[in-house]
Amino acid sequence: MTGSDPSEDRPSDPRDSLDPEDRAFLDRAKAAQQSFARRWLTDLPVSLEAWSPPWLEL
Amino acid sequence: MVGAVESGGLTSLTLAEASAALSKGAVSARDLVAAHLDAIAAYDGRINAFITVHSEAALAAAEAADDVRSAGVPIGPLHGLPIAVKDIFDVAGTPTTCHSGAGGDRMAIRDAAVIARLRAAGAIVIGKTALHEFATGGPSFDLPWPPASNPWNLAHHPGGSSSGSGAAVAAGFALAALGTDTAGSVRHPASACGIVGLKPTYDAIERDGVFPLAPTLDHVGLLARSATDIAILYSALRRPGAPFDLAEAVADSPLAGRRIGVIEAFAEGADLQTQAGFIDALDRLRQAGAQIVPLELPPLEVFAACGRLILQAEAYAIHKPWIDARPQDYGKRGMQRILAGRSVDAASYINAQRLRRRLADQVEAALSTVDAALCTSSLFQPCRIDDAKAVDATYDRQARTPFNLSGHPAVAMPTGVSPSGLPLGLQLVGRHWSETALLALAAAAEATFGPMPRVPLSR
Repeated sequence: MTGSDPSEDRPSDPRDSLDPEDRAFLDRAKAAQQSFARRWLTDLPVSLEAWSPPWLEL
Repeated sequence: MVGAVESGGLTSLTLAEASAALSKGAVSARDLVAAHLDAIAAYDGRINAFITVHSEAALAAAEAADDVRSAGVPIGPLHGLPIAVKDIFDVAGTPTTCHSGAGGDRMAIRDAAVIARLRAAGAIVIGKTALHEFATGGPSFDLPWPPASNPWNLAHHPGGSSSGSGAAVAAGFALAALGTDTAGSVRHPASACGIVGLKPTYDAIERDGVFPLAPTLDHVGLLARSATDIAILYSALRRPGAPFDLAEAVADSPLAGRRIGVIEAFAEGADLQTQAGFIDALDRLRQAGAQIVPLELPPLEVFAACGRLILQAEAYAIHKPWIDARPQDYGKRGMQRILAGRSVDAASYINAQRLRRRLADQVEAALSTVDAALCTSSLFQPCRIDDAKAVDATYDRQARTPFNLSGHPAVAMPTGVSPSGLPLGLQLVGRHWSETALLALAAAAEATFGPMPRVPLSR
């Protein structure tokens, strides 16, 4: 039996339909996210309080 | 300046004035609603504030409101008053388009919680207003409806994302409007259109039936022509248990002796007209007796980046099924902004939430030392609506997002008109659940600044 092409089952990637300007925007957005994370999100102290974000409170 | 408010007409009244006129029998709800519908018919072809106008339903509701008033039965505080609603709130029997081809087939089967409160208070939904696609992105020209323009100058951006709500109130198409504010989307159009906008304490107005953008940051907010109007609206629309004293909020409240903390750093990089307007407003508040003191907060850039990351991640989570299935239904700008959330990793999102809490604690600590904080709202005058780079700069740098992250109530209010003929404004911020004191302070500041010139009539 011949198997189907796995790529046919793969959901389409919206990025595939984007023009170069959109892709450049997304690249800049990703770079900004990573820069922010490196600068501000790596040294947060771990505490019980910090691990109780409002959306996890019952 | 270009606009639509007829001086001296029914569309020039504030909500409080219109309510008083209705109570005295000086005007009927039908005439009031008809006057606003006439203004929409005459001028909205150029401003594009509305996606749909509920002309027949609004007139029928107005006639029913007059009948109820004549019968002498108890009526609500917004009885017979025409209010516009951002087309992101469910209004039973109408589509909630979210100004997107991707949202246009969603027919609301029931009213959003705040719309139910609006109706229970007697208000009349006059129509649903334009926004940025799904309350993100910016003014777009590739959507099923055009973007709203600024009534002060039609070539300029009215702010967003609650663009149509701001334009509608400024232009005299409605006495007030509902909007949503995830990163300043009520306060931005308020500032750009020269009206008052309140983003209340987080969750002070229910979000049920409002299409989400980023639930951590989403707030329902209010736009009107005075702080008193906002107080009347907020009193009627806040969730049960949200503390508020309307009588105190609208009572004369002197500025003398009030301690106002100015976040000067948030004005860094503002354009010259905005800076000059801000300095002038501070001088007038000081002359009125307010005690102006400096207030320190973390850099604006940290708030902005933290808010952007949370917004991108949550918006993408909400839109992923649609954007995967039918990306062609989104406009270019909306698609860009939403897809940006694909690259947010889980650790960054969770740590951004942890940072958000720390930032909120710092804002609360700073606010505990003053009666209110004061800062700019926009850093730039409303730019041309077709200048994509200037529009992007508007969203990259503004002083509203910090209080979406922290959940503190914030009021954007006008202070005058710039040499360019566009509104100038500032932002007042209070402690959590301090809407009574905050709106009283805004009213006192409003009295100091004097009335805004009305948008002059031009067909």
